[in-house]
Amino acid sequence: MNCMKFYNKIFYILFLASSASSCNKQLDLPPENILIESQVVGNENSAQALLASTYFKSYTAIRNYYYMSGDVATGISVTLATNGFISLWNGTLTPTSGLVQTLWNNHYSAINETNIIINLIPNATFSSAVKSRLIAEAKFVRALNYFFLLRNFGEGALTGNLSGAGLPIQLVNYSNYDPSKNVARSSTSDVYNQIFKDLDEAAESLIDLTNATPQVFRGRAQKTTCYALASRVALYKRDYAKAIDYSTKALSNTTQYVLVSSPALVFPVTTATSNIPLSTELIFAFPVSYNSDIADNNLTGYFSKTAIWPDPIFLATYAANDIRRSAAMIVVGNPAGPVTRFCPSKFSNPFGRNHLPIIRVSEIYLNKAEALVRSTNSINAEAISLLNAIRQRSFPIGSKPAPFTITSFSSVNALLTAILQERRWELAFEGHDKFDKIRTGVAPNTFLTNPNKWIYPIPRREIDLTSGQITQNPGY
Amino acid sequence: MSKLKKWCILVWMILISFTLNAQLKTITGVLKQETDGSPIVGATIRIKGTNIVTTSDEKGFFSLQATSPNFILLISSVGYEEKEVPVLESRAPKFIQLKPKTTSIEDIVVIGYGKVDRRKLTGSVGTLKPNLVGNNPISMDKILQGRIAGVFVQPSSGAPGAASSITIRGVTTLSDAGNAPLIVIDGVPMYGQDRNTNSTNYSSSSQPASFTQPITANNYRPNNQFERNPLANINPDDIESIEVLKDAYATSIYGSRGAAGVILITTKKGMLGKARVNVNFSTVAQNAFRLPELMTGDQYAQFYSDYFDTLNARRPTAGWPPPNRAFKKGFNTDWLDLINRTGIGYNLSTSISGGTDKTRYFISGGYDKESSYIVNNDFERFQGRINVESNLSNSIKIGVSTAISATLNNSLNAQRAYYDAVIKAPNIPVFDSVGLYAWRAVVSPTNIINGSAPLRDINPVGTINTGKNHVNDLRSISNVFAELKLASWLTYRLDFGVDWYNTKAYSREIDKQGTLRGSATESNINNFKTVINNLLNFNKRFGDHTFNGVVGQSFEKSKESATTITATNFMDNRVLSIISASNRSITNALSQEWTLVSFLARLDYGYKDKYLIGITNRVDGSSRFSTNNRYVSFPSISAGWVLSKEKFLKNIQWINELKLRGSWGLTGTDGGAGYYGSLGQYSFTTTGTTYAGTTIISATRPANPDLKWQQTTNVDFGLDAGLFQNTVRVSAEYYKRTTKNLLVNGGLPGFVGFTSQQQNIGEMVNRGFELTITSRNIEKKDFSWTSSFNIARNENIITKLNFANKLDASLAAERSGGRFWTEGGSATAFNLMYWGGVDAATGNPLWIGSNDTVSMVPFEILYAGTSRDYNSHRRNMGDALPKFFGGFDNRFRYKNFEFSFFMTFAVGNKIFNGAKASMYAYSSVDAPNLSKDVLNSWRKPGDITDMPALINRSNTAFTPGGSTAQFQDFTLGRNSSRFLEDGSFLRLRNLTVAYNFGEKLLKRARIDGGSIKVFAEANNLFLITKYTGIDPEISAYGSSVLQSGYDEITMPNPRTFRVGFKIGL
Repeated sequence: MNCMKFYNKIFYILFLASSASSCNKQLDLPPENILIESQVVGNENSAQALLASTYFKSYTAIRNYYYMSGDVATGISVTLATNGFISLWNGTLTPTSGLVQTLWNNHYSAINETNIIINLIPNATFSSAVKSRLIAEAKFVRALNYFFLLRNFGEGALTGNLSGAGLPIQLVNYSNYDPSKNVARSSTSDVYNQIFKDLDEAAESLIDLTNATPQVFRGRAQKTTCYALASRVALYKRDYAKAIDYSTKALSNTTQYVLVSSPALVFPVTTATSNIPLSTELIFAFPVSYNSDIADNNLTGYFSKTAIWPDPIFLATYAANDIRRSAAMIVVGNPAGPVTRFCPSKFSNPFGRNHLPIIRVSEIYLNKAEALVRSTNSINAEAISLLNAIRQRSFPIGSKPAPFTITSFSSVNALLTAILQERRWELAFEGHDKFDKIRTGVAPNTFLTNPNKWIYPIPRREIDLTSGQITQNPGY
Repeated sequence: MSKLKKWCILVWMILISFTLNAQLKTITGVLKQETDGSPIVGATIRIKGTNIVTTSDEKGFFSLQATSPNFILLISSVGYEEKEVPVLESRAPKFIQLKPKTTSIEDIVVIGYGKVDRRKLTGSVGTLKPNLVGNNPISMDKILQGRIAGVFVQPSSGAPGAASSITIRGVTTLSDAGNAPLIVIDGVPMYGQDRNTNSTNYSSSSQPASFTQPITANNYRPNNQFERNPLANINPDDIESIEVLKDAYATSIYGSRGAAGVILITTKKGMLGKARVNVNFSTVAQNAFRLPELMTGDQYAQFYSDYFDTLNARRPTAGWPPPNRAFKKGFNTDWLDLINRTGIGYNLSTSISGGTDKTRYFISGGYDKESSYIVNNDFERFQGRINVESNLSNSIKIGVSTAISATLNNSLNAQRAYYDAVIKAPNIPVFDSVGLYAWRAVVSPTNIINGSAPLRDINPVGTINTGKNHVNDLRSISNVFAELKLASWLTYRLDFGVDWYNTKAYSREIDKQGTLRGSATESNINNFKTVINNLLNFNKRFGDHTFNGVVGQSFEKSKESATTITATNFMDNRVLSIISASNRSITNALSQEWTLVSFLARLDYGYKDKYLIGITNRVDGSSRFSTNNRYVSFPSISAGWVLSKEKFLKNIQWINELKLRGSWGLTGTDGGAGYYGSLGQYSFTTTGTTYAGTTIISATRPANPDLKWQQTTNVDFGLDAGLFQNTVRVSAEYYKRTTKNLLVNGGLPGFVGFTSQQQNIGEMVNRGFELTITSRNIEKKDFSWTSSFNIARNENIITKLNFANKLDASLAAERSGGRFWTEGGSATAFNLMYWGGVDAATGNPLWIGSNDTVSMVPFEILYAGTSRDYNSHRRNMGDALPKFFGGFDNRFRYKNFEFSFFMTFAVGNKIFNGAKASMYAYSSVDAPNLSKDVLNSWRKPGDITDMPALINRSNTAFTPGGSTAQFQDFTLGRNSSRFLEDGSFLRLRNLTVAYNFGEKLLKRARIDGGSIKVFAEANNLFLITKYTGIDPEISAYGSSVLQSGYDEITMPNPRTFRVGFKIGL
């Protein structure tokens, strides 16, 4: 019987041990390779990683369509008639097109992450200087994405109808889906104001690059970056006073953001795959070669010359000695590709590792010049000097044309035309032209004569899922 | 006499002395087995019509006190036929012999956390005791095929060690992971069918095969993936019984994991008596059931030359296709023949078991080799098991059941080689001019104009000879238990179980054009699960009232970790180590844990063994769910009425047993929601992406704090009958399973930041009936015939899908590996574009719209650029799961001969013959080999054929223009009904002949009770089906029942012939 008691004891001990093991705490188990929200925003490093994701998502969103739709749409570049993106510029998009849906979703996915940073970081416990920088950068990224969306979807955004339906403005981070919190599209004007608000607040918190800042920080928002983006936004909004103001601010840092002596230096031809230097002229670019992602920038088609190449007709419009059409900037590309086709040095890296330029100093020059002329409605001397700066550096020493003077232009329109033409040459292949055309009232191409088709249809999915609260653009 | 017994008798005597007068007379006797005279332990001996009862001891001895001199002893014991022994004037026979039951129906049924007498069972449990005349199939899922009503087992392919899908009473949830039953082996819930866990990706660059819109053959690529069968680690020869729990009574006690049914596996235990040795050895030959018929090299070259000539003539674009149309004649390589063989395999299994009254043991070991009908692709398994139980004292029993197995699956290339052999151009020799494998096929003009890289590397002979592609599993499923008898009616049991599952997979592509200097993927998966159960089992009778059941608590913890490394740029083909590659990366490094805390109880109450009630409940708390919805209760209630014990049936001779039963209850599933289903998730990218030097963490899953357990309400009505002296047993049932809070990926408007989220937005119903008849048709001394038949019907309807945008959600579901679901349709329905055949006048395919409008242009093209959606023309064209299915087994014995045949059938299931679509894909860029059917295409007006003109308005190769869009061939779309066929079948699964010749021989050697049997069997001997492919019983998408019904040149099940012997001593 003693023996039995002994066993019984063991049993009771085992029983107690195994029962005690089942307390509630055992049920709180996070997986190792996945973080939850509170973990991400609660720590400086992971918050930085989330911010990096917002940039990366913005980059992912634009690399698929931005350059195609901006340049091929207006004949700066040419592609095959069967290119998968062709509907982005031939007016055949429908509300169910996968392209618009992807574009819409990708930008909003980036916006959601910026909202997480903006709304949840303030409660985090790490250094407030870091927090303020994170929030400011997130605001810049949010503004950037709203701007890209607005110019593609916002009714009247580029044509001056500020009361048109803009975008649903989502400023809260996703926590749970509640259909009662679906929002309708705010007016284009409200969206513009939101963008300015974000950029102003971001600029206030941010400082500028210094000599000590790593190269790659041109891929992240600085004070000047915010002003520079605001300068273009204001120009698109046709708020020229604002455009001048922001341009001036954006051009005020003359040590870090400098117009280089020749456009060829901004886009050197290289086959390097990592850490390609970023020119001081780049105010904001997605620093592809600094990303450890094996994916290319989606523009290797330029190098291979089979998917996209500069339109020879467009190249012929450059003056004979213009560096921007010289062999330094319009290069041979893939030797195996058709010999009649060329490749811009902007995207000549055979591995697709060129940085994606978004804002350059030269654009700000031209933004300001245009805004000055339009706001004063005169043949403005400062505008001419800004235009000259861009034009003069584009020719080699010895064959520079005579600088423009006030007398070079017979009318305000002639000056505007010259500025816009210069813009076309200067920013070719960088995804600008379609929007410059539309905002100046010119149909981008012969397929898009109906101004309703200058903006994309709202994805039908959005309308269905919000039971019509989000409305369709006219004409779709 | 043991202490316990003394104690028992003491108590019993006290009880008796209170209730009875003093006219007591002791009756004693010894129970023996009729066949070998061994004692029967633990039998119940009752004086009929009284409560006087006792049990027999280790020597079969019993004694009890009778109150009158004349009475009847009622003797019952598990595994033996009940016997009534009349006692006259207190004179009982000294030895009473009991006859072992010959039928497979036995009275004890294993259920969740206990056992119950089948006659008192109020739930629905299907039992299978593997006891074949011949050899067991190599894995237990194959044993279940067609054996139990309502259990649908579909193998994914004929590759050895490939997974099967097991579906009990229909689809449970709309996410892949939630449809597999919980499998519990000796009380240990094991890692079961989970496609993600069990799949080995062997190409780092492979895209999983997926549906895109439009789904055309041109962009169909098979998965470079192998889903192994987790059940292949279990030795079927060790299995004593398999219980399939189907209704609420049986499954609710498994709570949150019971919704898709539960399979309990009980392994063999040692029996009291001398050591018994069993040795089985058999050898098996395996062949392809049939092979696809394809063009020869010359036919192929001729066809493509003609095709491109025609295309060139018809096509308005000058210079297209390019003149380089090198379809040479002269070589006729039969790729299938080159990789095909008769695979020879072996099975050796041995066991020894026995025991004393203190300790019983069962020890087994075995080796299996299955050689597939593809050269160099084998599966091997080594296994061992020790099951020991020991009585430490009268009240304490401890035991262990432990198994270790190692499987070496070297057949991961089999499916790929088979697929490649079908599509590879036959006009090319195996080796090129310099004696290397010719990996590339012809350079097709479509390929050149397409501007894409010329071709994939395809050479099935090269693949099977050079590819290193294997997965090795090491697994131990073990359970240690201790039982303490607290009272005669109360036992405490502690279980500690482990499933330790280690997998290592390695695959290598050698240096060839597509993978210069080679590439390799290596993954290690380490899964470790522990479970602790504390159970109090009780079993008590008060007069007419019986109570038995269990109260307990369970704690389960699972740790899973995995690492995958990939590498390219190897130094040398011979060096396998990834360290020798210059390009290496880690693509997966995972470690996660989850726990489940549960409280459970079951009470079975019986009044006069006539009116039965069962109540169960389980409360589960899971770490996978949010704190708000963490604990959920899953109750059930059931009732039974044993009519045969009622007076009005007592006199009906031919009804021996008749029971009506019904149950209601809840079960749940997290629907494979995985970790932190309710919380937002942030993940790192697998490629280690950085932005401007900073590592990226992005939001990958939206939070849904409202996420709830999916809940299924089960209702079941059943009837169990034993007729004609129990020679015929019938079991019939009707059930309805209603699921609410169905977990589905629901769409979100994109502006919120995510486009879809797992939500509780659906409802679903499964209803059906099951019928099982087993009968001993003839039982004579020299001849017997028993048969067993089962049939089941299940109907699945998605009754509600709260998708805000139904079309979008259905399409999204289809793209992400589900189906185009519709409200009112089944979860496995084929909703396809309706193919109307070929227009005899023009040779164009006809497409029939939703309102029977006929279009000669596919709606995809017709509606391109408009806001109309072609998907509105989809129709429900049938279901991938059968309307009826079941099996029919017959077993004969004539003197020393045994003969059995087993057939399985399914009726009403549709299968998509994607294999045919691929063999019609002449418009594809790769210029694959084709079926000869293509030669019968429409040529001139009036031709009646189901093969459209080669160039028609549905394959856009005809329209001029540039790159990819031009080669869409809508006639081959996986979204059209063209290749949807009736997959009903009747299969002779097994035919076995055996001869027992050992008895006399052994007697001469003075060995009692032994047997020697030789047998020969054939599996998959014939198949009756209208399906024009080879085998309708396969599934290209592995264990996923939601994606079942696709044949994508999937390896058919083999035909096997086996001979062997069984020796029992």
